[in-house]
Amino acid sequence: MSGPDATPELTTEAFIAASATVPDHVVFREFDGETVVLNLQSGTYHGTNAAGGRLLALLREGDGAVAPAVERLADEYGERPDAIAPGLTRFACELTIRGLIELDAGAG
Amino acid sequence: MLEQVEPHAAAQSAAVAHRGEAFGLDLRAAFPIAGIERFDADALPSVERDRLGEPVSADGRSSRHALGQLHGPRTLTSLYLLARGDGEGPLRFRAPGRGDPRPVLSAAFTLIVRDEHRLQRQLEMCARVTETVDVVWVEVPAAVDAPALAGAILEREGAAR
Repeated sequence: MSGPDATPELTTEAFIAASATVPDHVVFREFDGETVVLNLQSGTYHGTNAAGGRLLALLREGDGAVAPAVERLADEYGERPDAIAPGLTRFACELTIRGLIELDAGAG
Repeated sequence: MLEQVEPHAAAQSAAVAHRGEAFGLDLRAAFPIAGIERFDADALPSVERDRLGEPVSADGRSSRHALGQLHGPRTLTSLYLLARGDGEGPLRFRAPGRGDPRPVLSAAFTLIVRDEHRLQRQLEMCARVTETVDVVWVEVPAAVDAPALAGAILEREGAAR
């Protein structure tokens, strides 16, 4: 599921129960209100907005467990975790396809 | 190099008020960005300054620019190796002996090359570059600044075409 060519199919429940890590070859930095993400292996740059950058930061700061990161993000944006989880799941799949995070759906 | 990624639709939310910015996610291709000090940008020839394009952000000290993207490697045709001098004489171009990889090796050598195997590969690469590329030493007097050096190299390249 973590390869850049993989197309992960992930339910929201599986994502919440998963573990996600930001690999060492991915660096990101906030820049003018958005986050620029660089995959050092592929040499590709991506941009994401503040919420996307915050998710990456929470995943890198934490132990990889997705659920606490989702709860923290929901709290910071005044949302319910179950309201933002579907969008986060799709976002995480996009990140995984591009090798920007590595998901372990069997972690839960 | 980059695949264009359509932004995600913002996550649906029933909230009627937010404590801060509305929640939403996007992920899109971005361009590498480089910064340049205002002093250095002002010293560039106008044609080079124009190539920087409009900055994506700037303050009084420096500006930042999105770098142009190439979808494949450019062909290397010339390699200029700089040798700084103390005098004020003219800038001079000097071609080393054809097929001698040592000048390129001396310019490309790094401490990463620590074992015999890697040194051999480095030498092979330098030999290939020397055989296929116009390698030129540039003796640069201390009085010659970077814009003048760039101008001299561009003039030589233009004359060679």
